[in-house]
Parts: sequence; C-alpha cells; structure tokens
Amino acid sequence: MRAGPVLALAATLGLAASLAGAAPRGAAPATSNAPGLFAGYSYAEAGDASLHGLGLSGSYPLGVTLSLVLDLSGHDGSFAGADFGQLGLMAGARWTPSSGRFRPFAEGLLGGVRTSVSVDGGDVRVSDADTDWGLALGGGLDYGLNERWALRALFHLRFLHGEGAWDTDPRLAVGAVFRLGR
Amino acid sequence: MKRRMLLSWVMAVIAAVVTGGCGSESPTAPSAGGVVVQGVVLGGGASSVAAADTQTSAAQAKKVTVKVDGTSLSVDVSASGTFQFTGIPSGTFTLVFLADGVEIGRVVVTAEEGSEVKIVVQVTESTLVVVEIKVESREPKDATTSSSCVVNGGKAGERIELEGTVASGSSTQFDLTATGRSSADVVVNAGSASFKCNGSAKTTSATECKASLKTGSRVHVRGTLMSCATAQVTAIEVMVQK
Repeated sequence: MRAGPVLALAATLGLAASLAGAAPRGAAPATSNAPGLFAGYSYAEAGDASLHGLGLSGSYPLGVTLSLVLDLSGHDGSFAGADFGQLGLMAGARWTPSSGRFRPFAEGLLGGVRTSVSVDGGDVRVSDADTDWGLALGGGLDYGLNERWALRALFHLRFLHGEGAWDTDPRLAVGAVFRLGR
Repeated sequence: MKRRMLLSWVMAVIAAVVTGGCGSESPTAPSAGGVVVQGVVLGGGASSVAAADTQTSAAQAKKVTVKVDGTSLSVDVSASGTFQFTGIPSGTFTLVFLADGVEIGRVVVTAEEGSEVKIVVQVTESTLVVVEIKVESREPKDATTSSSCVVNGGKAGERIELEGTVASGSSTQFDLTATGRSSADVVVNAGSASFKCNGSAKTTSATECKASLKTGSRVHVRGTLMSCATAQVTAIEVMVQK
C-alpha cells in the first residue's frame, strides 16, 4: 500500500477508541483479562502483492487492561508470475479498555517479516529471501460467545523497512479466541 | 449506545474500503485503458539462481526505482520487491531500472492496448537481468490473428527460442537472421539479458562474452516475443556459440 497510511492508521485507532467508548460500561464483564490464544484466517499485502494465510497469536495479561502479545502469521500468494511466501513474527502490547461481551482493543507490535520470492523461468529457478523489520499498529474487536470462546476481527498496518524502502502494508484477520484460566 | 457502535462499524468499514483501495493505487495517475505492468525485483536479500548443477548468490539492498522512459511515470519498488504501473500508453516502451538513482538496466517492452505485462528481474551488484517477461492480452485473440502472429512457432507475448546469426547491431540490440525464417530479421533487445559463451570461449566471463558479440556471431536467443509485425524479441538469455 503506497498511499493513505496516515488515514488508515487514524481510522484504525479511531475504530478502537470509538468502540471502546461505545462498549456498554455497565455490562458485567464476561471474563477478566485472561491469557488467550487466537487462530484464524489472515490476509496481508506485501507491496503490491495480495497474500492469504493463517494468523496465530497468544496474549498474557500484564494488568487489568494491558497484555503482552506474541503474533505469528504465515501468508502466500503470487504476483507478476512470482510466488510469494511470507512469515511474520511480532511481539508487543495490547490495550483492552473494556471487558464486556464486546471487547475492542488496540495494539502495537515490533518484529520482522521474512518474505521469500521465487520464479520458475523454464530451466532456471530464481529465488530470493529477505527479512524486513518494523512495527504493526492496529486494533480489533472480540465478541465473547461465552467465558472461554470469542470471535475476533483485527486490522494491522505494518510499517516495514527493506531494500531502501518503507512499505505500509495492511493486514486483516478473523478467527476464534480461546481464553485460558478465569 | 447501539447506534453509536453501529456507526463506528460503518465508519470502520468505509475506512477499510478506502485504505484497501489504496493498495492497488499507482502513484503514476493511471488513466483508463493503456497497459498494465506488474513487476518483481529480486535481489534485495539473499538470492540464488539454480540452473542444473550451478548455483550463484548475490546480496545487496539498494533502493530500486522503475521509470517509463520518455514519460513522467516512475515508481519506487516496495520493500517486498514489487512494483506496478497502470495506464502506460500501448506500443513499444522502455522500462528503466535505477538502483539508488543510478541506471542499472533497460527493458524494451511492446504491448497492445489493454494487455498486462508481467516481468521479473534480478538485481545483482549493479546489473539487471531479466528472469521472465510475459505479455498477456486481456481479450483473447481470434484464431486468425493468433496464427498470423507467429515467429518460428512462437506467439506474441510468450516465450520463444531462436537460433541464428547476428546481422547487425550491438550486444544491447541486434538484428538476428533466424534459422528457418525466410522473412525479415528479428530485432533482439538484449540490454538486460544474461550472456553466455560456449564452445571455444566457454571460460569467458559474461562481460567478455557480451563484448565478443559481433556481426556474424552464431547465437541462441531465449526470450519473449514482443511483437510479430516487426518480429521483436526481448531476450532473457543470449548464448553465443562462437
């Protein structure tokens, strides 16, 4: 993504903030801030390439509203006849301001994304692998089904640096969260 | 409260659509129609080329920019190595590749209105090598057009291999008298092709091999047939036989 990163970031943070404000303050919390595991479908862009894959993450509470997050994602796809594979590993903090059935959150992560590109040019196969470092900012919403399970939708903007350029790549993920403990 | 939440979701969806649309936006102010070029530049990280039992590697990290020669169209290659142009005027145009502002190679492309060019290049040190180039027409040609657009069995926009003798020109661009072709010579654009010598000059380096190309050289060309009207090939590899 080349344009509109500021708009996208503002929209993401605005979404998290507005949802946090909109959450029913009087509602009884479904659960406390407990450790959780997420798995689901993930979509990401790598420059001009659109990639699909899997997102996994784990969170561990550091307080009532703050959690430590470890995020792993794997995507693949193709662009201009080349095959792309991407593996991302990031860690950071998540802020979850409310604890009702709807639990909006905002998070910031640091880490790296390793992108492999290969192309089969007949009798020659050329491949390239490169690790780009940067951060991901975003947020999302958990919808609690019960004390253990929730549905999650999240959006990240990944700011990655490599090959003398900065990419601002969006990532979307939807899936299920399993909360450990109480 | 529910209305407020619903409004938030609507705003979020609108924002996602707006920002998602930016992903395919070209900074070159695309116009309707024209030619689309999608490309990948390899070589930002640890690259490897595997052909038979050979393997070479290169590592560099320079900012690569691609320009369409003679126009203001220009785009920086992303950290992932991708770039895209839309709305390039149809016909023959030249993509100019720059690393940190220094030109490292040119690729001549001929494409019809509405076609899509897919190109993969590799940057090693300060040179550019075309790995693959395809021209895909958005509208399938009818059989009559396709059959008339054939050079030695190769179709426009697809891969072709030719044997022949260099009639004139230089290692950047030369006219090839192709074996088995009775009509006019084939124009070979080899500015970003890899050069190899075999036979007596097997130990010659790529640079020396490239310099050795002259009128009368016997060559084997592997590349993409860009057009048949004037029989133009963008070469990926030129094997100099002698």
